[in-house]
Amino acid sequence: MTIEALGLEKRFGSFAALRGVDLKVEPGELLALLGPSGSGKTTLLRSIAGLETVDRGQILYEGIDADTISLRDRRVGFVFQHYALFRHMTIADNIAFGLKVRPRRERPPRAEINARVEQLLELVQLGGLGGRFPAQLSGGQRQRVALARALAIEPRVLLLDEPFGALDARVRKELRRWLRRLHEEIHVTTIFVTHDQDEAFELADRVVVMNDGKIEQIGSPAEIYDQPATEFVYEFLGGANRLPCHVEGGVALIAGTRLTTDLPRDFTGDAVAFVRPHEIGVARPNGHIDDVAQVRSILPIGPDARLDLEHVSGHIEALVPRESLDAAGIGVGSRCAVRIARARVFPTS
Amino acid sequence: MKIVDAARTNADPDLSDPDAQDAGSWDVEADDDRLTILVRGHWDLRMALRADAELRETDLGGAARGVIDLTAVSMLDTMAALVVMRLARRIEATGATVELRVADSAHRSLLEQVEQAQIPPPPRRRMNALTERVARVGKWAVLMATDTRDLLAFFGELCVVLLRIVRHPRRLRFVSMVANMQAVGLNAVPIVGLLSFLIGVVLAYQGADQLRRFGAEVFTVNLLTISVLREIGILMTAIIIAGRSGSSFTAQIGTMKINQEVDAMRTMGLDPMEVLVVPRVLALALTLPLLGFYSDIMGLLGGALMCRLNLGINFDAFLNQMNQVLAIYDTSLWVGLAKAPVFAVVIALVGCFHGLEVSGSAESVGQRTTISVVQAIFIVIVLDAIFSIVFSALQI
Repeated sequence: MTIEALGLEKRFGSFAALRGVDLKVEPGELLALLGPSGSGKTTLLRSIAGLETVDRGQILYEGIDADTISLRDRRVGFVFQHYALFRHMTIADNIAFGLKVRPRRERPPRAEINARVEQLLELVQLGGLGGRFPAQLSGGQRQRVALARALAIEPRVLLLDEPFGALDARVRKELRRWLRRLHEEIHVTTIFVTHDQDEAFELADRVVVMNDGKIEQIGSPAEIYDQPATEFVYEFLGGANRLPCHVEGGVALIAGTRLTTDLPRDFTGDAVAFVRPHEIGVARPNGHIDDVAQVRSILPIGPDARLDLEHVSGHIEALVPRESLDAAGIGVGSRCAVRIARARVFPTS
Repeated sequence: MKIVDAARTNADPDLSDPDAQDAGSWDVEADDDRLTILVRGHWDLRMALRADAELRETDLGGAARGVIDLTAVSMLDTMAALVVMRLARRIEATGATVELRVADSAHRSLLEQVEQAQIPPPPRRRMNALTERVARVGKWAVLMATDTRDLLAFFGELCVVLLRIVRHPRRLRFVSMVANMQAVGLNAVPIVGLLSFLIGVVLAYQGADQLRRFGAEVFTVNLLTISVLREIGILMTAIIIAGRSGSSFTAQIGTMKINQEVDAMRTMGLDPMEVLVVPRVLALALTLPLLGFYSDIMGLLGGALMCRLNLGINFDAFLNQMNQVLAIYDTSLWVGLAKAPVFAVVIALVGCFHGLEVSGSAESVGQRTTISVVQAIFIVIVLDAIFSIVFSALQI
């Protein structure tokens, strides 16, 4: 199903959770909403589900205004961060609940409900555990029950709010892979919220990066990584060095290295360059003064080494092969020349 | 406050050369709408302390925009960063926007760290005691008004849902209602019985003590009958149930709210009002009158026992006297019991309302539970007073 959000705005008191969000979700797609806490991603998800009413804007389900569709008829499967299972019901009853509470006309016969529950328990690999209560299951198992419950009503759209946030790292990884496979199997339009970029990149067909109630960038994981649209995206994806620089005629001087930028040819002025650690190389100083930095520390990580460099323009983190250090005779406390292979430059506003 | 990157000015070419480090200095330039503070050179602890003392005296004027330019700073330590931040906050306190220009990412991160660090906010402007008191009363009144409005809205919503259920009786969650009747009614029988009995004993004892002076011991029975049937029985029951069941409604629904079970229900197309609130309200509305009647009996029994022990009025004589009283005041029992469904709805409504108002943390469940009990008992007693006035005006 296609879902569209048009100019959504939402305030909680004086806090603006959404300020003008436009988004189109394609049918059968697995979409991640990525952003720091307070960026409005959960509010967006809850608004799509109908759990929150927006102050302004419109949500369309296949072109129909969602306000005119009751929550029941939206057929949304929602998975909550803390599972939200009904504690006084068995696993089987939890999964069947969404079907059992339907009005008599739409309710499938009992035998069919039971068969469907069994089938779903198999799908989430919990066959035979239908008689247990939520408290008797582990976190990972509970989250799979929550997913089965969401799938029971044959949702037109599946919404997951930080589904793996409360689980430990190993279980999280396992469930991630499992969810990806499940999505390939059933192909229901899925939106999930996360603040973990690895999760978003591993799972999603498209990633929506949000900040401060607005969408910063929408794109495939590769696009987002290779061409971050804004400073925020670059910083949020982590690990990048932020270096003030000067641009003259579209060419930037970053820590002594001249680089052609994407900026217009006639642009001249101050800018900020983002450089990822592996895009930086080091060499023996060659007499120039602009590119010289002092090595503060060297931390070996497998075949590479992470260097902390002190340059006039600031602190630089570099990731270089260890051999290149030995070749250039670079050690802690020595000086080296910084070579920047690639950078993305944003003009200072 | 905004920290922006800018290119370095007067950059010190070699960081490791101590001679090149110039002493710190600053300049303040002010024009009509802009205040610029240029900070230069080497800013360490000593410099910071000197600057702080002098900057405190500086007039920051009424500029709309403040700029603190740190692009010419060669060295900045934590204390200096703190002084700069303090200055920025003071400019902000005048209502201006503040921009910090930095050239060095290390300076930037230091400033950000210091900004986030816990610095006590500047002392609040003290109001005089009278204004402060008036302000507090005002705030409290507004809070009460919004709370009352929300509660009334909730009551309205409940009425709409109840009407819907009257039209489609199948929508009533019968099992849930009966389970709640057991929890709030049947399970409360021992405690309500015991407390009502004891109140009957106390009332009879105190009444007899006073009436004996006039040789009117036998009127203790009149006192007991009228007060227990009209007021005490139902009021006691309502207060006990408010403490016992109103609080548990808040806690149950509040926990479900925090656990997102309420949201889960809504995504399945269920109305929490229909699923959680209506069964509880109906359960209490049906059981509270029964409990009230039972409480009347236990109270009178307690009183009868006391009359027997203390005044030597035996059980037959007690019943006889009671009959005579009730022959005149024949509406007493109904006056008492008529209030029961109203109290029941209030208690359940307040309990459920605060349960659904719970948000965020488990702490909020505790707070809401307390508020719900206090509010329920308060409203019950106020309503009882209003009933008293109305009944006496109607002469029943």
